[in-house]
Amino acid sequence: MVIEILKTIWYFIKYAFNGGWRHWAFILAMALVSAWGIALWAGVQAAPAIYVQLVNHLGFNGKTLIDLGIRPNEGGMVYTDMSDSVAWGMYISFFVFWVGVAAAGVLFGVAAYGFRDKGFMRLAPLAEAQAIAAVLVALALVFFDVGRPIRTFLLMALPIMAGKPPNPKSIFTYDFLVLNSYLIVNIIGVFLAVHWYRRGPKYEPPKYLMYAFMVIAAPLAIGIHTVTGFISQALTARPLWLGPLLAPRYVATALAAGPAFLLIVSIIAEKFYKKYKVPMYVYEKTLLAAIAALIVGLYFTLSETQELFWYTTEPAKRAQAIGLYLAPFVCGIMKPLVKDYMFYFAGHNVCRWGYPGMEYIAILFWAWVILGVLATLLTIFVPKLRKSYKGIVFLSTLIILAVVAEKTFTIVIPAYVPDALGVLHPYFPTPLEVAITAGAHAVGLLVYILVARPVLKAVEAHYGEGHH
Amino acid sequence: MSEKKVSKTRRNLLKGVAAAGLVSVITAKREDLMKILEPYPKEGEEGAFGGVEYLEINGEEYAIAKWNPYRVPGNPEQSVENLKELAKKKEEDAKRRCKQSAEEICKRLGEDRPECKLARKHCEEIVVKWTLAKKGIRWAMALDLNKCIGCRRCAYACVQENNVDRTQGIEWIKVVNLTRDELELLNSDIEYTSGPYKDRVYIPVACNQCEYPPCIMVCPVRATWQEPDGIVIVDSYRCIGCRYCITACPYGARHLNWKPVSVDALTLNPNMHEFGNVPREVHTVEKCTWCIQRTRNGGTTACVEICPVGARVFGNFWDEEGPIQRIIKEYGAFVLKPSAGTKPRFFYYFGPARTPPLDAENPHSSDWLGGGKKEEGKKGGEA
Repeated sequence: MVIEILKTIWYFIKYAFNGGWRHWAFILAMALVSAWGIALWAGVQAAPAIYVQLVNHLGFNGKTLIDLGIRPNEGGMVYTDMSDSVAWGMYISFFVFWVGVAAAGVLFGVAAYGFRDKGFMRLAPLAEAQAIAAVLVALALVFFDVGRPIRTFLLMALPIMAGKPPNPKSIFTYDFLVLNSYLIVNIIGVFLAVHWYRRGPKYEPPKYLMYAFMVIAAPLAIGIHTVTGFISQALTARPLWLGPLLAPRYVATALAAGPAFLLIVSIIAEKFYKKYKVPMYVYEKTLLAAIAALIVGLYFTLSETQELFWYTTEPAKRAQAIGLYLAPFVCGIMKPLVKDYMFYFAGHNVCRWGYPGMEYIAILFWAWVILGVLATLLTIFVPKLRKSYKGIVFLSTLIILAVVAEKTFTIVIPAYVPDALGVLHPYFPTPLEVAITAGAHAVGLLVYILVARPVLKAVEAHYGEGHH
Repeated sequence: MSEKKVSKTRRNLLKGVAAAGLVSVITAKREDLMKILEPYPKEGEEGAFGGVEYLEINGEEYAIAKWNPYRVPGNPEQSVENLKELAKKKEEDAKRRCKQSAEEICKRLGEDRPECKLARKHCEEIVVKWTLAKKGIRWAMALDLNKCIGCRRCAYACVQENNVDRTQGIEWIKVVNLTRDELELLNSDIEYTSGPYKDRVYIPVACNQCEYPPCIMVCPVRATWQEPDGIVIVDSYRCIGCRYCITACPYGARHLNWKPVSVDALTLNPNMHEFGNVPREVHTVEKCTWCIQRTRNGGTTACVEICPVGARVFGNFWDEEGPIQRIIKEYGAFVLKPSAGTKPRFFYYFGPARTPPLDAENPHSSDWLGGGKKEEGKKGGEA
């Protein structure tokens, strides 16, 4: 038993690195991008915080840090475009998106192990690998977002892991718990799959283990996104989030983007792994499920639109929504609706994209609506597309683009514009933020390819030789 | 794959779910769950969010909030020791940073200049207090909007008193400039450069020191809590800079130090409290503390002291004969965003007379923009 487990660990290490030149080129590129992002984060954005915490509070030698480029009086979060008005920016926006992608992973596990669907069983281990990578991106983004990362670890992470959360009323506590549990559960899931699959077609993981995995993982998958939604939806200070629809909306579009992402990865993987074959009906069913989730997401948007614009509503809520909805082609409808909020447009042309300096928010919102509707229509009414690999990749890309447009900036940022005192403070991510976000994504993709290769090799070993 | 197998699988799945549910129901006690969700319920009218523990020092009764992370439950002496130790640590840090700044000033201007001597004197004078809240006090503030002329002197005094970093443009008091017909914060103009205008009302907004502060409920590390006298404070030695409290505050009262905090020894206020105006750390949140370093020792806040028209009143909310209760009885008061459910203890009211008086014929009036010229204080952008 122990020897077998050690063999599995060795299998992971061996196959993570024994790929061809393309594998290595990808690893190298991702390692470079992530190193670049982390260096920028440690050397510019978080430099003073790291220095103060290590030297003043933990008694480290300051000289070494200065030699490393971490200086106490240079850098800081002032180099991001976040402010007291817009307190959360690009990091949290993408955090929300990747939590969603992660949540979708286990649904394949449910389809595979819960209903013993042989086709989905080939896809499930890869889905779990994707969940690991996505949770890591989300955690990395939060870690890059907090002002005092080391202190976060000492005062929040350690006490929570020790079972003594400092503030059990804070939803952050639960988000931390749920995300980490989900990460661990998925690591166990991937390990279980590889542990048995790698030995050949005759070896299946014991059913009771897979049931246990599913019973724990499936609620966690919905839970990570629900709790992430709960972080923002109960705040009276941010009217646009205030309402019970935020968490369901998160989950709905998460179930669209996650599978779509997996479809693309799986189709690419089929090109490189000759014995890795997933039946076509799995792709088609997955795509239809993703589209169903997308329709629910679009429906939620419609519902919110009615709530915002049909009768009168809370002025702050509508003022924040105007930044989202206003676009030249809806101007005729919007103008009478926003006439009481003209103060914002003093001196500006009303018929434009949202608020001055925040045009990208409105553009992304309408991109979500248009791309979402387009993807839905094409999937439903053009069966040719959803039955070919190229068509599936195309439709999946459309879905991902639509959800990126919705999930990233248009959920988090508009709730800060205008802010609690009615001040309009535009936010636009700085190059530093973009670079650090790219670094966090590179970390996730690096982990993804390192975990996915052994997983795919094991799936090949199990299903490859004319199995079933 | 037969039908039987599928239904068996489903049954097993359901069994698993039922077993997990049963285990969680059996193992979790209701009291424990309640304890987690509502660690220290608010008891009665008195006390801070999370409850209060009383202790006696030299015959006087003081109180410590139960959410204070430095409190040792059931051991007030140790709690006080912890607070003293923290004050000592913060004092050392403040002195070190002040001396650094003083050395720079002396190097730049020369050793024999008065500025150099003053800077050094400030550093020596630094005292970081750990004064506790007295029993039976709940601070509150009231502000007469008819008197306020929107001069922003309170904001500047606050910056000076509380050692706010001058290089970041942080102001704890924002003065909101609104029309008189609707006090809707959305219509505010906080970047006005002239005034006062007759058709405008000026509302200084700082921390409302709410009875149910949403900002402390969201803090994952309990770096911010409500003191027994109602003041919500931030400990910059615990804050992790996640900005969840900034997101949760309906009054925009919280501010992050987005870059290294510079301490200027020349303008430093050496009278400090460990949870108040002691120089903050980089990437931590700061906010109005109603000048805890003054009010805990019998003084009043800097904004009350500086106000040229006497629009602000500061006092004990529970004192039936006190100024706050008298104002509420006499004029009636309102609070900002009552719908947020925070129960602010910062009251606004429209007093009996306007400053300056409306009547232009009155010699004491200032039709300050001259000769009956109709001026309207609308937003600058509209011009």
